[in-house]
Amino acid sequence: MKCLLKNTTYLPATLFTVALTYCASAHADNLTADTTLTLNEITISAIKQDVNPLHSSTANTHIKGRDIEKLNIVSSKNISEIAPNLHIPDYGSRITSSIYVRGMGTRIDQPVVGMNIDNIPVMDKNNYDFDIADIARIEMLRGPQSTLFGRNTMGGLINIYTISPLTYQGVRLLAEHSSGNSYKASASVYHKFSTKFGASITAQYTSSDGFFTNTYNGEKCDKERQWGGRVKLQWRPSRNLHIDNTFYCSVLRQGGYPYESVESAKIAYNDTCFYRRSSFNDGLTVRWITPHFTLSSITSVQYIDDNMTLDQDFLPLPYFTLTQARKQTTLTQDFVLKGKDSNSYKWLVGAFGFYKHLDMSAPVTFKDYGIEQLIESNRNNAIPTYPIYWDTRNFRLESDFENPGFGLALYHQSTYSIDRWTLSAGLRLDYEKTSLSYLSQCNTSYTTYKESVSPDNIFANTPVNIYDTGDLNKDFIQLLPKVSAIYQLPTKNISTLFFSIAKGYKAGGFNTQMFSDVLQQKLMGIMGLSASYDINQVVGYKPEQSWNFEIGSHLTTDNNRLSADISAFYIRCNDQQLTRFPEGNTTGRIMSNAGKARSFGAEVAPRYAPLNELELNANYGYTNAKFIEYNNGKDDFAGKYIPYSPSNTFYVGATYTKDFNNSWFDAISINANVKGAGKIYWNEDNSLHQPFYATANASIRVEHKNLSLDIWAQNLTNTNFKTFYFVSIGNAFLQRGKPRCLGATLRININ
Amino acid sequence: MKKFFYLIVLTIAVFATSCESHEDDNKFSEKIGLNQLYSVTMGNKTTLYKPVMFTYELNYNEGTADITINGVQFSPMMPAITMEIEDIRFTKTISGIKLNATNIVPEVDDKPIPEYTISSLNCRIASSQILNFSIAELSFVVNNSITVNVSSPTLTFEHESQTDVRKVFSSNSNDDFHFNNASYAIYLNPDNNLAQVYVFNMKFAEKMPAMNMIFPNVTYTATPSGFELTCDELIPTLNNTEKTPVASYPISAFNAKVANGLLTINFNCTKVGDEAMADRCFSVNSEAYMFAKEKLQ
Repeated sequence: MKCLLKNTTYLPATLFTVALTYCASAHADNLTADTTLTLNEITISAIKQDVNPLHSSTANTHIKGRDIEKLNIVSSKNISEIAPNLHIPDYGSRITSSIYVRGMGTRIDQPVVGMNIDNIPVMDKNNYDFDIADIARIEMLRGPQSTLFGRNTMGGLINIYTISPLTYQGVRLLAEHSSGNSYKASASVYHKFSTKFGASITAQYTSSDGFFTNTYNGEKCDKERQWGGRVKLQWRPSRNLHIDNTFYCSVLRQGGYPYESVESAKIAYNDTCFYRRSSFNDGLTVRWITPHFTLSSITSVQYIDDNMTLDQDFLPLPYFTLTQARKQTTLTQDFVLKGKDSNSYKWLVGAFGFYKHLDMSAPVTFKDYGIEQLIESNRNNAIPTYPIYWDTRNFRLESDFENPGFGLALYHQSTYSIDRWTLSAGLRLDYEKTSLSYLSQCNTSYTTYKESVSPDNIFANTPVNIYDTGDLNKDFIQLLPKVSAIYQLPTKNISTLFFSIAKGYKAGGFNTQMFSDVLQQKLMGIMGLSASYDINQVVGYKPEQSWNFEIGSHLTTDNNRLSADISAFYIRCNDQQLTRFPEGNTTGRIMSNAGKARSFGAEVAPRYAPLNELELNANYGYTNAKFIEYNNGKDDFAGKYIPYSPSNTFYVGATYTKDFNNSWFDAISINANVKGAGKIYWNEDNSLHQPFYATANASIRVEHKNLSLDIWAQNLTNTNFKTFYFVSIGNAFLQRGKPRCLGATLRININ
Repeated sequence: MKKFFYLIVLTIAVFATSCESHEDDNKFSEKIGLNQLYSVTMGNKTTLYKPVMFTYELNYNEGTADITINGVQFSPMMPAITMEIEDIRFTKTISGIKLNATNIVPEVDDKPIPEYTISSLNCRIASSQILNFSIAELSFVVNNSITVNVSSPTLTFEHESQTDVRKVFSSNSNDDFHFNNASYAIYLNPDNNLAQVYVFNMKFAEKMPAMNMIFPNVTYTATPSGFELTCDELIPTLNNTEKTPVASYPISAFNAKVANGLLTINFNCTKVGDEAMADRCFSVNSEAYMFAKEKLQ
């Protein structure tokens, strides 16, 4: 609020200058973009799944263009709680895309929810969170999508579609200012060169000075600068051939990690924390449409170069720092053949393959206080008669990795319709192999003294030279079936009941963050202090598998004013992957497989438009997710709630739109919504939790010709809640949710 | 309708088979040669003999093993012979294999020697994770009267470890603590009957970092079922390059027994430097098995 008021002297002037510049040539309807997604376009956009959400055997949530603008959705994190049982907490930095669905989710490595942007799978979770301009539609499919989409879609799939230049032509401009001295700007040009070829180009910029202050240096720690661009080409050389190519890139420079010490109630750390990322992605979709079948090819190349550097202790002490610098290239290819011969029988077969190559360097630097507390104290308290002292007060544990991997899959789905029934069965055979070559090394030394640390009392000087290399391999093979049944109710409008059983799968892999701990324990072992980790046991983790049973319905009244999606589910999960901080004074996080877990719950999402001007949306999700078996060797957590996933999510919103059509306004829309989540447990023994919390949000939109101005507020009541909590080397930290945020967004659409 | 029927059949087949399967690697044969100590018990007397070569030939196809002992003798007056015990059936265990047999007539130079009929034989072979080599423990009875226990000079005990640490003279049971990841390696020197006992992940206080220590020069003697190790007092050293003496934890009343693949260790540890006498003495009782899960009967 303070930041916004500070800049109000020039903000209105800026906005009106921009408006006047374009008003002169303004004409046409800025609503065109929101209605460009006709059913035909949805058919083209969605290649594998049911084109009509009402015909789907999956619980799903769709958010269209106008709602996306009203809710200010620009990235995947913004849809948290808008879909029931979907929780995407905003903490850390944009490398963190921890998505929780129906009790399942993880903080590192493999995600539980997949993401496609214009049908291109985003293969790296580190690249999930970036701002996307001109989103036309977002759909969130809940429940396993593994049969058609393979790995890491065990909890669901988020599909993001951007505006097509073949259905919308014009110029779209956006300028936004909000709290935290945050700015957003984007400019897009959509042009149709002929009936067969259209292209668009988009550039965007986001900047924020942040909300949280590092009291150690007085600076905001969560500042951010992001640049992005997109070029979309769509070519229809003939009625039977469609070729789409989308290139998008993003460059991010971010502080991040506003972790507050529970003990001091302050954010205070002395070493640098930042996250930098550059990503370049290109996706080519080719569709050949014949009277009997459609053959689609989806090809992508994805490159990400990122660096996460942390003051890993998050304390104002020279403990230790961590860097994780990665370069990853991924190639994907998907062929989909869909039959069209029969109305009653439809089939789909596909083949998918990918190759990933990751090079990563992840050194941990021990500093003076860290050496003293984590190494010398441990050792000298045990053997005070022969104390040690490190020869240099700063040394590195180096870890370098090469992690290539590939996967191949074949899949099929058959759908048979008879009377009001639609029966479907699908199967995917998925094979994946991943390898890890590692080099861990450390060169340092220490001196042992008799009785006291003094040059006259030297007992021995011990060099520590560790050079460890090795290769690890894992491969996984999975059969992923799904069966479903849809019954269309005898109503005027489409209303259905559905039942499905599906298997979900999250790939196994290697937890590279543990290598620094393996090295640290090896160093302690050289000193005579144990225990050494077995690399194979702490670094590798198994796939996670689940069986999902779901029943639900998509209901619509005859007048289309009331609709509701209702579902109930039961999930049985084996080898659930959980992130935890290991016992003792270690630096990394370990991915372990819990024994068994189960989750059951229900979701309801009604939508009611009692008047043409008024639309009401709500959803509620309940999840009861617990461990059935989970013993980590020290504690037994059977019967405890699974941490980090909320047991309730809630959203209710209302939009009132009034048309005026006078010289000042064409229409005014008011939107108010409340969303909430909780209870969220922070640990496996359920001793700490975040109670249920809710945030209120509102916006007023004024539209005139091709301009719209939104004045909005998020977390209007300034609710204080925690988005994340963890314990590291015996110290507890939390991150708070963003405070009240006020902003104004000007949009200009010229077409 | 036909397509619908095939759909149902396919669905059933898929659910029935949608699980991972594993296949074990199959080896055909394996030959393990170990220089091993053995003791011979006749009546009340147990005699320990110097190590000789024991060769274990395993035929995985047939599930049988041959054991060759080069230079075994059952009494000091008996000449050393190279004895072959053939076609012993074995079964696989979690960590290796187990051999059992009764009434076998061994051979010397391919000739049966019924005067040394083996009335019962038990053997376990596994891989040690601590020391990364094969360990074998063999015992057999000759003519129902002579018990032979065979053991490697290096023994490791790393399975199902239980350690209880109790403060001596303290009536507060909250001071006791337990842990289950200690492991041991014992190096027996047949030339001087002294053993080096390597202790891994040992600690004497709950918050103390676990240490890898060596209890040096512990005397050992053979018993009818294995070995006994004793030492009145010793100063352990850290298992590191410089062998730092752990003078702050002197050990007393050390006693360890090895029998039937089980090691039991008892000793007292006194932390030097604590103020109160009553608080500074710990009694440690620990046990660990040489082989995983199944215990040698």
